[in-house]
Amino acid sequence: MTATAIQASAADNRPFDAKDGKLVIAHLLVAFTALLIGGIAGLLQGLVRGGMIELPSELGYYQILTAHGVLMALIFTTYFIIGFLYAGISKTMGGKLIGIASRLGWAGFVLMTIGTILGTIMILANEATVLYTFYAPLKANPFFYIALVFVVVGSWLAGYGIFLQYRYWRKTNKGKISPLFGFMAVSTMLLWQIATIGVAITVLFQFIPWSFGWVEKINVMISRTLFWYFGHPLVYFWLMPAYIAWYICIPKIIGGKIFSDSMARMAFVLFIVLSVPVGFHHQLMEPGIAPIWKYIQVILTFMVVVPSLMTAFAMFATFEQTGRAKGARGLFGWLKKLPWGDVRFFAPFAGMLVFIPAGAGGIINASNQMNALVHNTLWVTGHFHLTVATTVALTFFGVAYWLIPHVLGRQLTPKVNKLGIIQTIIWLVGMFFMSASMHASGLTGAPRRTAYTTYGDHPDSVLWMPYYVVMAIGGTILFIGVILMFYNIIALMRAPKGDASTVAEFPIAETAEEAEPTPRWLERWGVWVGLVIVVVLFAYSIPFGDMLINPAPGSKPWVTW
Amino acid sequence: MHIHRLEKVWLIIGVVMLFIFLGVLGIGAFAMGMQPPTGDHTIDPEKVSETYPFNNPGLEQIGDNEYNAYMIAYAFGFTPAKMEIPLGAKVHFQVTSPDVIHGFQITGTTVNLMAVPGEVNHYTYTFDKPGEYLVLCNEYCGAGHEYMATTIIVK
Amino acid sequence: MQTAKLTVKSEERVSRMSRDRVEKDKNHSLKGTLTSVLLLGGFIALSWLGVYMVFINR
Repeated sequence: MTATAIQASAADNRPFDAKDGKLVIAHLLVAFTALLIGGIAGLLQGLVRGGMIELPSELGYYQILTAHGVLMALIFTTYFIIGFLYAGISKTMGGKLIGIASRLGWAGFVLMTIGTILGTIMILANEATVLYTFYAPLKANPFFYIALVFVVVGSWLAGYGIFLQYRYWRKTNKGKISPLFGFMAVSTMLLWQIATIGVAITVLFQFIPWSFGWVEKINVMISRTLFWYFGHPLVYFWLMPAYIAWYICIPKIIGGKIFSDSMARMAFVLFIVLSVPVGFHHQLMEPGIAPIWKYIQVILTFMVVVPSLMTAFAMFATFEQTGRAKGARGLFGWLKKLPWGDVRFFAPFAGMLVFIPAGAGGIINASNQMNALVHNTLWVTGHFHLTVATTVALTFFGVAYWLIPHVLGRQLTPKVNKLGIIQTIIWLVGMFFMSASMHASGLTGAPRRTAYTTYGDHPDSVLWMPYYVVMAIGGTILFIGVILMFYNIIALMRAPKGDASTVAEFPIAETAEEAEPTPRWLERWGVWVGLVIVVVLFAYSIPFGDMLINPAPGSKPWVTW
Repeated sequence: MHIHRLEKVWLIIGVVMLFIFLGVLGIGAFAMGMQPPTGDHTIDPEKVSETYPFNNPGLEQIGDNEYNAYMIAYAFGFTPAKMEIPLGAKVHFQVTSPDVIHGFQITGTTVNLMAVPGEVNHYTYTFDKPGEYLVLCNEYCGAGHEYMATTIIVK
Repeated sequence: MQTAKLTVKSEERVSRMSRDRVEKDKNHSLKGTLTSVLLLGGFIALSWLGVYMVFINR
């Protein structure tokens, strides 16, 4: 794109509040440290399954796998999201966090970090080799579950800070429509609060008493159902911040405007209402749930595809409108007008493109009886390495390239921009090899979450080995990508200071002119929460009620590792 | 709220496509017997080996080339191991676990169910291709998880 | 009162007509967008059908 530092625009060159900047940077540094350690774990896993190394006796495969899942899919994601959202609400809703929001942000950070450290110690001490989903009746050290409580409660505090900043903005801007970033940040944390109720109930009232020995048995199906009530909206908690970057920041970066403010808000409202009542699509192969309820939740799952279809249209429309305004002609001329050499665009765009196979795979996974082909196989692992580990991760990486220098008053230099492009390409290459092999071998039955084995040299298993080798190669390339990203983060932290015209901008797009202003009813949070409650009661009351009224015999604790 | 004409076209096409998928799946599941695994009766996980029908694991003929297969998934194997099934047999699997959750997947087939302690899971499959099928556990169950496998011989 | 209502209605119609005209104007065309999302939809349909065929044949 440009040979000079990525330019700030006049409207956005207010320096970011220094105190708020510390909060943002704290979250991002923990996030990328988790990515690094989690990446080392992932590398080891790939090499072990590919038959290339053996682990030292002090380390277990499943222990490393637990660390990889927790650090990547809980710590990296949650910390980045909170850091990004706090930056955006400070920037767009007042220019500075109000006292209580800042204090809640820090309190949340402290709690989450205590939990992260405690949880990591438990995992490294082989006290919690239960994987990131910690299914009963595998029983970890009770302090592992306590660590999870710290992380989740900390994230709740962060959410409350965001709600309070939003409320402050509404009070001091009566009659105005809320800034899109604020609306979307509130939507995200509202969904998170609703979703985490499920995992909080099972951890607080089932796992902790049971793992301490105060209660003898645990009802396995109830714990799984509560977990997956949480586990599906969890992925939308990751996706919505990526969509925030796509809807609000990308149009500014490419020199365009937001295609439709109303439809963007509508998409987020649909996510709030439809992300939760769908947990059964993670439980399709289980007993204890009537087939009709599995199918009903499959229908609801397909409905939550709709806001993503809306987002796809909005993204292409933004690119096309912007391109045509710059003189592009023909069906796809606008593609040439996009700033391919700007990592702030290129990395998230790569994420968008990968979401096509990622989403297609997700629809297949949720397809009721078809799930039998892919359940617990490496296909599922291939799927979520496309969704969270590429779409969401590359978008977050793309955001970091401007967010870190912006909050520190520094520049995104051409050198780091170039390294960012290279890092994105490395990521895509590594992920292509690894995820494609995972999908292919998974479809023939190769299991996920399984250490090196040839199943007694059974022919099916022998056929999987070449795929595992390609996965190891892909994983190694990805690890190089992790190292480079970590280097880039440090380079961004130490970038040269900028002045008003060279400091990295916080890209916030304006809306394209619409004939009508955004309808106010989109902001009626009470209605949306009410709708969530209604749909969740509809989708869960009878099947979950059945588990409570006719409970299966519970299970005593098992420590099988 | 204004929605661009072409966005309306896209969303209608998208939703219709999703409903077609749902229709195919629904008819397959509810009218053609292709349901996912299911189970509505429970069992005490501590008494599995004493409780009917798991006190006598294995095949039980119930019709002409039709069988019930009672199987136990445990850490770290399956009972019975190396089961033999006649070619063309319609088999009603009933599976449970006396300890932690296991997977029960027969590669190359659509048999892929969760063996959950306290519950009995059911799935029906007709073996119309001969061979030695790999049966493996695909739900992490502990240190021996990657060794947990057996075979089913269909001839 | 009746004439006021009529005026509001015809204003809405005019703004809708002018918006339709704007939408059909080459500069504001979204044909590339529709083509792109239809390709995306086609990818979803083909991959779903492919896996469905595998499922039926097992």
